[in-house]
Amino acid sequence: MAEEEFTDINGNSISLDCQTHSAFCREFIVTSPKLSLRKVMVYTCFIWLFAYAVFFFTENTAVLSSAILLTLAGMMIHIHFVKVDHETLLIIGSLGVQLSSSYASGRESTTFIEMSKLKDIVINEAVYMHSIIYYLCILIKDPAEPETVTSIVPLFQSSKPRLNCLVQVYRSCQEILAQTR
Amino acid sequence: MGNRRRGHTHAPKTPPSLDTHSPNTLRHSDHEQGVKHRICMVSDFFYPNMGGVESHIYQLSQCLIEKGHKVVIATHAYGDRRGIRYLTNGLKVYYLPLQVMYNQSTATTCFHSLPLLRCVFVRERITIVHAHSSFSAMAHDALFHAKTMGLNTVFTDHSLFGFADLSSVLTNKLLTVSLCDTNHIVCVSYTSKENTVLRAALDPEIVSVIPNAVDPTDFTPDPSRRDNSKITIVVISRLVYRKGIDLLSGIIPELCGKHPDLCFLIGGEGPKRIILEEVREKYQLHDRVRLLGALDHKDVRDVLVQGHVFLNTSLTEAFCMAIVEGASCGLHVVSTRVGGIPEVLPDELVTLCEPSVQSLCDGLEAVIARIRTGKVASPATIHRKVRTLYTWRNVAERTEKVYNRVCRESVLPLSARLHRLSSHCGTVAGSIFSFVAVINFLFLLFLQWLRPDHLIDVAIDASGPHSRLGQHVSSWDDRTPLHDAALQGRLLPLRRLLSQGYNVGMATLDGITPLHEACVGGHFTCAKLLLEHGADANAVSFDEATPLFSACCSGNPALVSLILMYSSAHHPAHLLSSPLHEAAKRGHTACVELLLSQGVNVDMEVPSIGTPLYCACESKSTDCVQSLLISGADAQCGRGLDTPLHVAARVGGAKEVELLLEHGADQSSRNSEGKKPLELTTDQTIKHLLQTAEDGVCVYTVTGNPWERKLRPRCEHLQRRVRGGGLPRARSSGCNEHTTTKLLLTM
Repeated sequence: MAEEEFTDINGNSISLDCQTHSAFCREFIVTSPKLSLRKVMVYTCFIWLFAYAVFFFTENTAVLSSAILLTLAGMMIHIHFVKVDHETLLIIGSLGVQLSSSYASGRESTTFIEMSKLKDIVINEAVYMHSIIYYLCILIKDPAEPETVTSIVPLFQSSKPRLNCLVQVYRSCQEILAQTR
Repeated sequence: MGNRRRGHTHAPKTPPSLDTHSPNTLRHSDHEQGVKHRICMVSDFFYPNMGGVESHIYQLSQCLIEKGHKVVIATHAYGDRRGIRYLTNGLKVYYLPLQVMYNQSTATTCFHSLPLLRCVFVRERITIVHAHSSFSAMAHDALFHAKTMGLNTVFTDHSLFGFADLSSVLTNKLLTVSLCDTNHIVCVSYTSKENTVLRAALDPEIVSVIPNAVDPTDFTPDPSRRDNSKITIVVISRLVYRKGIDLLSGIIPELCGKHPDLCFLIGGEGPKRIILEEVREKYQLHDRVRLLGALDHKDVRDVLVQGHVFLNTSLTEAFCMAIVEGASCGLHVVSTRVGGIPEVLPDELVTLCEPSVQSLCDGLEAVIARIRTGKVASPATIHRKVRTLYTWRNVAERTEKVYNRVCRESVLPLSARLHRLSSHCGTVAGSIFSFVAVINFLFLLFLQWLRPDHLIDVAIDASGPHSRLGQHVSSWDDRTPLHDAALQGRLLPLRRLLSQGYNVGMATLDGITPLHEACVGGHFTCAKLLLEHGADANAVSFDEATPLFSACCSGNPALVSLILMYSSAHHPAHLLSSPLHEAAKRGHTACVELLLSQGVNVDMEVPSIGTPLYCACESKSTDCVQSLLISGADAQCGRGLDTPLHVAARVGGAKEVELLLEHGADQSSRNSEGKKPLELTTDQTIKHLLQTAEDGVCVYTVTGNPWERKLRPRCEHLQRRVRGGGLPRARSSGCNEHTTTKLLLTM
């Protein structure tokens, strides 16, 4: 329904798309910017220039062909395992939460957490690299022991939206969780 | 405080004007009462590590929070304990993942901690960085970075140093560099101040003395725990050279020889334990000298109350906390006259001796003689005297004055800092550290380019004036006079404030506007005035309340109709409640009728609280139920499978049950637990009503369309068949008349 402009913790703009399917079911899609052509070009140029420099001194053509292979393989791995296009959080009251992230290559990975295992959805703070960030996470409980948190599942791990975006998702999620309890 | 200090200061080595209570501070103190600081305490030493510095930081922070300041603590990660933790009263602790080098102190490279500390300072909007302990490398790093970032700095020194050996010379040089451009330094005693001023070559003007404190409620006397057939001397200290354990090993055999009823109780652990064990072995004193080993802080009091005399043999001490704890437990204190100890306790509570075996023995014997003749004060008297001497509130008050003073000072720009460094710290060290300072500044610029300040999210406060921990208290802080006038319905002040140019749409952090307040208070004239001045009638607060919602809560029909005139939305897009539900719940019939006349959907079901009719039945407001039913509310629609009839029966509203039955409620429908309304009540009147209805003496006064009226009896017949005949349940939830009708038509 609503689509707003937010930024991630590094200042790149991302978009949050909230869809209300019914009173009990909402979907949040965080879309990161597409793989920029310039970045790809710069990386490729660097590797090839380096390879050419090595070739210039060694005069071994294997260097050039391996550079080409390396670039291709690197790009494949990047779009298949690293670069996430959008991340989706689908929350369905009384049923559970589905998290999916779709990679630039089109590969999708999906996990589902059923309601009985879900303790709460909260915003937490953590030390990440050389900074301290807010992130949204799901607290998982063991249905046998409802009071203890057994593990934590971070949400929007690759897009890392900033606090204002997280707060919006958090509020909507809490609305649904409040009804199912 | 000045008087009290003079009371037990033996040698007033500094003129009074150098204290924190200089006339300058007093003059400004009035208008600075309200200034709230955002303080970051930095030290390598914090819980779970235990000790004097740790508890000092914790207690001081708690008292500052109590005074309304915002305090966060930054320390390094302790094993598994890393990240961000909250302690009592929203005290936030950053356990930063920095590498520990030696003795719980981090490595100091001057640079590697900058990114994380900058992030903490920026996101918490810190104004004052307060570093603790000269042993803590992280504290010095933080001072260095804070000065680079242009923040005010305060440093508390907790220990005394020598001047002679190489390690002290090096530490002193580092301290000189670190403190030469720090705004203010706090020492725990006058001796410590003297020491620090000399070591770091400081201007005494910027050094204040604020002693430590004990929590007197933790250390209370208990004379019943003493064994009065003997005289017990308690020693609690780390068993190291600095604490004078060699003296102790000389005292024990001498006194034990003279007094056969003397016992020693020694708590603590350390490398000098072996000496004490040797003495014990040599003189066969196993039954009279007990070595307790390392003690937890909580067990200290239990040991202290068993003794008559507390002995401290320290060779150097900045401010001896142990003797205050001993005195607080009602023990008479015998101590060496070293460091800051003479300042700590008044003369009648402590016997001071020279740090030699002979002098200490003489002192102890004098005290023992006094105990034998009964000429000593009772433990309760001693405790009463000590209790008021050193409290953390007092420490916090004095620290606050330091902060107020520091805030007025400007932070040196880079060029002035470089000049200060080279003029204060000698040529070699000065130029080295000037270079380091420049590099640090460039590194900061690089970090600011890499991740600008505006990209770092401002942290949500857990303490201080904008704390979100106690929401109810804090949401009142950012209210304007307009909010207050509107809530209390004071029309004239409101008009005056508006004419003074107060913005009518001024919202608090929670998004509450003055119009919300006027509606909560139910003040028609105030709301009218605000609306005429252009207040937004559709403003939504953080709790998703609109003015209409608040007006329905207060139940003034004139106000509701006024708001309806200005606002467009009847029901904001949220799912927890609605104006109609609130009015029905609170029995404001006039409001309900008004809303219904505006075309609000009467059967609107909110998942968590049901339909308005259900709410009205739940709160037993008969008038509301009646008007809702007359306006065409479906008598079967409640919350999920729970019908209004169920809830009316459960709460015992006989009149509501009667009304519902008159309007065609089905007394045989079952709720989610499979129960009929009849099974939910104990009230005889309701039972009778429901039973008569079951026998079929039900009068239908349906006001719906004729088609529905015709169908309804058949519908119900069908429902019974469906339920009884094992067919899939047709009524899944709420009002499924249409589904049933469809079913009927297809059959």
